[in-house]
Amino acid sequence: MSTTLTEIARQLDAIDIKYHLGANRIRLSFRTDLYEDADRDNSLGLTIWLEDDGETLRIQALNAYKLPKEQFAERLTAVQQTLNQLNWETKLAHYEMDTEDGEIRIVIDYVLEDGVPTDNQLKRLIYVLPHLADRDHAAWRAALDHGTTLLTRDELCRRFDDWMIARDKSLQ
Amino acid sequence: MAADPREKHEKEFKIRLKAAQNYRKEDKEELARAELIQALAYAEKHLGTNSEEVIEACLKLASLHASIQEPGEELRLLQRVLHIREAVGGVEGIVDSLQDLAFCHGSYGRTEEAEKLYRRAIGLCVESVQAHHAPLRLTLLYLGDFLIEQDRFAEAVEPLERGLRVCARSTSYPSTCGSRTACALGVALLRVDRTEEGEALLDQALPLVSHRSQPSSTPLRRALHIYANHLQRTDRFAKADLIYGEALYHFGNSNRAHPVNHAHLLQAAASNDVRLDRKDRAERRLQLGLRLLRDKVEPHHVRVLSLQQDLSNLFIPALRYADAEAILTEMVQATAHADFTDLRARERYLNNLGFVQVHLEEFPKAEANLRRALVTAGDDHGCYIIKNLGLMYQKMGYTTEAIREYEKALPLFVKEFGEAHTVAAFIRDALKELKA
Repeated sequence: MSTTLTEIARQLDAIDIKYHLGANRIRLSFRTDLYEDADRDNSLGLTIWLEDDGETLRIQALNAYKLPKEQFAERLTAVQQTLNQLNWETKLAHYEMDTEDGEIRIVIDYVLEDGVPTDNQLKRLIYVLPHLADRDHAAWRAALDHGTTLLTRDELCRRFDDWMIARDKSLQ
Repeated sequence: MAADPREKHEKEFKIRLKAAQNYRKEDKEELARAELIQALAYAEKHLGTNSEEVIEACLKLASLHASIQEPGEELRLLQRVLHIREAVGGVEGIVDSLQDLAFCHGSYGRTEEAEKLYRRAIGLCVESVQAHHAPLRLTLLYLGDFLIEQDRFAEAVEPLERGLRVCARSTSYPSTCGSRTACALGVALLRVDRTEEGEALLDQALPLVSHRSQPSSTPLRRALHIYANHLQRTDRFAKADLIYGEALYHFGNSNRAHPVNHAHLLQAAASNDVRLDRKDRAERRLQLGLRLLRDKVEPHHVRVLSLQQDLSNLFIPALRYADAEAILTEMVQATAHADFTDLRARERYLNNLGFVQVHLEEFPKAEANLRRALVTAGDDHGCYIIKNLGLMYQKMGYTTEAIREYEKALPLFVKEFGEAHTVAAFIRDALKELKA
C-alpha cells in the first residue's frame, strides 16, 4: 500500500503543521532563526510531492540558494566543495545544485515502496530541513558571497594544532 | 556449558540500567530512580561493593538527582564514588571524581568548596608524567571555566595558560581539549584588556569548538556571546554578525540555554543588525527575544523592558507610532508592579509614550502620560517631558501654551546639555516659528 497527497495532508493536520494543498503539491513554510531566503526573510519554503505512484516521497526546499551564472567562474569551486562537505556531514537530507542555472536545493527523497510514513517519521523528515538551513546558512553565505571553501573538521584541527604548537614555542 | 556467573550478573545489571534510561527519556523520573536503586543494590550484592558497576549506578543516580535538584543525594553519591576510587587507587579516576564533586558544589553556588576540589585534583597530577596529562589539562580547563563563570577573569589566565602548555607537551596535540582551553583563555584575555592575544586565540579556537559536529555548551555559548559583543563594540559589525550567527545557532540548539540569556543575545545581535542597516532582522530578533521571555519572566523584568525599549527605538524613527504606542503602553503597565522601583525608567517610558501619542494626535492621552511622567522627573527636571508638552500644544495649535512650555524647557536643556544640544536647537527653531 503506497500513500497519497491527501493522506500526507491528513497526517500534517495530525502533527499540527500548516500547509497549502495544491493539485500535485503540498506547500509549507517554516520560520528560521538564521537562514534567510532571497527576500531576506527568515523563512524556508518546502514543497512535498509523491512520485512513482506514491512509492517515493519527495520533500524539497526549492531555490534555497542560487549562485548566479555570471559568478560561476569565480565561486563555483567553493560552492561545490561546500556542498560536498555539508553532504558528507549530513544524514537523511542532502543538498543538490543544478549547474544549469545555479539553483541549490535541500532535498529528502524517502522511499516508501508499499509503506506509509508514520506521523513521527513525517514530522522528523520535515523538521530536518529548517534545522539544516539554520545550521549551514553561514557556510553557504561564505561560499556564495565570498567564495570561501568550507574546511573539514580534520583540516581545522591540523591548522589549530600547528598554530598552538607555534604559539607555545614562541612563549618559551 | 553454564554461563560465567559474573557475565550473567553484568547482563542483568545492564537490563536495569537500560530500563532506567528509557524511563528518563520519557521523563518518568520516579520510575527511573526506582530502577537505578535496584540496579545499585544488585551490583553491590553480585558484582562487588567497589565494582565499576556500583560506580556506574551511583553516577547515573547522581545525574538523576542533579536533574531534579536534589543536591544532598547527588553529593552523597558522588562522594561515595570518590571513596571507591580512592580505595582502588589511580589518579585518573580520583581526579574524575573530584571534578564531578567540584562541578556539583559549583552548580549549587558553593564556590569555595568547588574551587578547593579543583585545586586538589590539579595537585594530584604530576606534569612530568605523561599519563597524568589528560586529567590535568581537563581539570585546568574546568577550573578556568569555573573562574570565568564567576567573572574572575584575571585569575583564570594562569590555569588556562598552564592547560595549553600541558596540551603542547602531550604526545599528539589534543585538539578538542586544546581548542576549548584556547577559547576560554581568549575570553579571559579579552576581559583583562589583552584583546589582541584574546582575539587571536578565539579566531583559531572557535571554528573548532563551534563546529557543526560539536555539541553546544555553556562555555561555548558564553565565549561566542562575549566575542561577538567585543567585535560590535570595536565597530567590526560584519565579523560580529558571523559570530552572533554561530552563537544563535548554538543557543537555538540547546535545551539548557536559559531563555533570559538567549533573549539577551538576540538583543545584542539586533543592535549589531541596526549598525549593519538590517533593521528588518533586528525587529525579528527583538520580537523573538520577547516571545522567548513570555511566560518565563514577569513583564516588569529588566530584560523584557530593555527589549521593548529597543523595539520602540526602532519604531519611532521609522514613524511607526502605532506600533511604538502598543509596546510603550505595555511597558508603562508593567511598571505598575509593586517590585518595580526604577522611577527614572518609568518616567522615560511615560515620556516616550506621550511623545508617540502626540504624533498620533491622541492629545488627551498624551497630556495625561506626559504629566504623569513629570511628577517623578529626575535630575534633568523633566526637560524632555516639558519639550514634548510644548510639541503637543504646538501640534494642537495652542501657540501661547506651546511657547510657555518651550521657554521652560530651553534653559533646562542648555543647563543640562549645553547650548549646542540638538533638542535645544530644535526648541529655538520652534520658538522662532511660533513667535513669527
